[in-house]
Amino acid sequence: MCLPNGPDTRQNGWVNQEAFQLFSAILALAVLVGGLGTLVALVFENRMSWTSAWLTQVRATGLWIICMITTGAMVGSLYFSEKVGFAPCKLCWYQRIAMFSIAIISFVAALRNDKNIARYTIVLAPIGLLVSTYHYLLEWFPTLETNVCSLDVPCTAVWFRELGFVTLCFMAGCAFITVIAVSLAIMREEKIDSTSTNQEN
Amino acid sequence: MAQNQRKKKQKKAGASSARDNGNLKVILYIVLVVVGIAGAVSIGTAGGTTKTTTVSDVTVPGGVAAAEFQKVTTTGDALPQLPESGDDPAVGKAAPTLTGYDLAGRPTTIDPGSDGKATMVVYLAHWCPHCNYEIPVLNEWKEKGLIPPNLRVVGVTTGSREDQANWPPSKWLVAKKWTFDQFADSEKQEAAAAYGVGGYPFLVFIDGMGNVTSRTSGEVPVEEITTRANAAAGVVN
Repeated sequence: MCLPNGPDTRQNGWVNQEAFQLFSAILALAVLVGGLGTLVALVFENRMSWTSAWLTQVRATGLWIICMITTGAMVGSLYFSEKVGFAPCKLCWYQRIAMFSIAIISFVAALRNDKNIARYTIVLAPIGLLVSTYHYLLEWFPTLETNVCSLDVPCTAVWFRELGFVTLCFMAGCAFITVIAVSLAIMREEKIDSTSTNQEN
Repeated sequence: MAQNQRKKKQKKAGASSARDNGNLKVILYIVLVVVGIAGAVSIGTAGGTTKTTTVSDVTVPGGVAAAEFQKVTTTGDALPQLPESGDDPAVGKAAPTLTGYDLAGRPTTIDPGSDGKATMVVYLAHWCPHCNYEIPVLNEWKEKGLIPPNLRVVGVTTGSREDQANWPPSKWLVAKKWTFDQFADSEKQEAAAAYGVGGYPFLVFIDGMGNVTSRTSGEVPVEEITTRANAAAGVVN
């Protein structure tokens, strides 16, 4: 059944909800810019001067970057669902499976400086990105899936659209894109390292 | 030879560790700056906005105060939920009577069959995109003059949520140019439960005797609405 209409939560708690929504949206966009920048750097590595410096930074701190982004997404997601009352739909849960898993394993990997984690995140993040992309399309084109709204939490319902286009699944997508970019950067470094080691031998 | 290699390795590891520390600091600074900017912008631009519940103290003569939810009284047996496939068990059953108010607080009753007219009840949720698509279809149906003369159309606002899009439903209906009768469901959605609503939009067609002729859920094209409405009103196509 539909969720009960509770009291106005927008001013309750430690932070104004609308401010937090906008805050999350801006952070997500910043993360997206970082992720896209990393992807561009990967494409033009060794061909443009800034790319090597950028990728050096990303590779050196990539594990913590992945950990911070996914943990931030996890905390934000839990805040919106548990504190604000935005009940997650079916597709939200699929994205959560990928995001929460990456958050936990990347934390352990960052502590151990285990760069092999990239092989796992590069599998999980694209799955999450596929789901969030479909979810985002569904938000704009609800008839893609069905022509009826379910009583409980339909995936077509949009809780908020910050700046006119940033929704919860869009923010998740930003995080997944950046995780993919950082994972690729780490994996390429490993490949370069192993190639140079082989050449030395 | 081996000692030299070990020394080189140690030196390399030391340099790498120092570089990592430097990198971490850079990343930390970037994160702090981004978080700071995002926080300042969001607090600065969204800090003072609040949502208010639209409840009017103005009472319509013989009615109650305007509100997005109204008290609903149901008389008669509730209809079973519409199954996803197969025959509808509600067809042929008497539709229950709903007594309540519209969003403006005027007393309204959905009492199918009481005046010999057929009834079409449309359950709508303001946040549901499919309901938003369906209302223009219903308006088009009306503009084309396809409504049978002995059919009453009533829209029931249900499943309303203050934290969702298009709140409040009273303003939403005006914006969507809803010109049919309206009925406000209660917060407990008693009107929806009485008619076995299983999704939004939800259309119930009732004949002049007060018996259900058909129910459907989701977006319905003009042609199908016409067919179902005519069947309820006893109009031969």
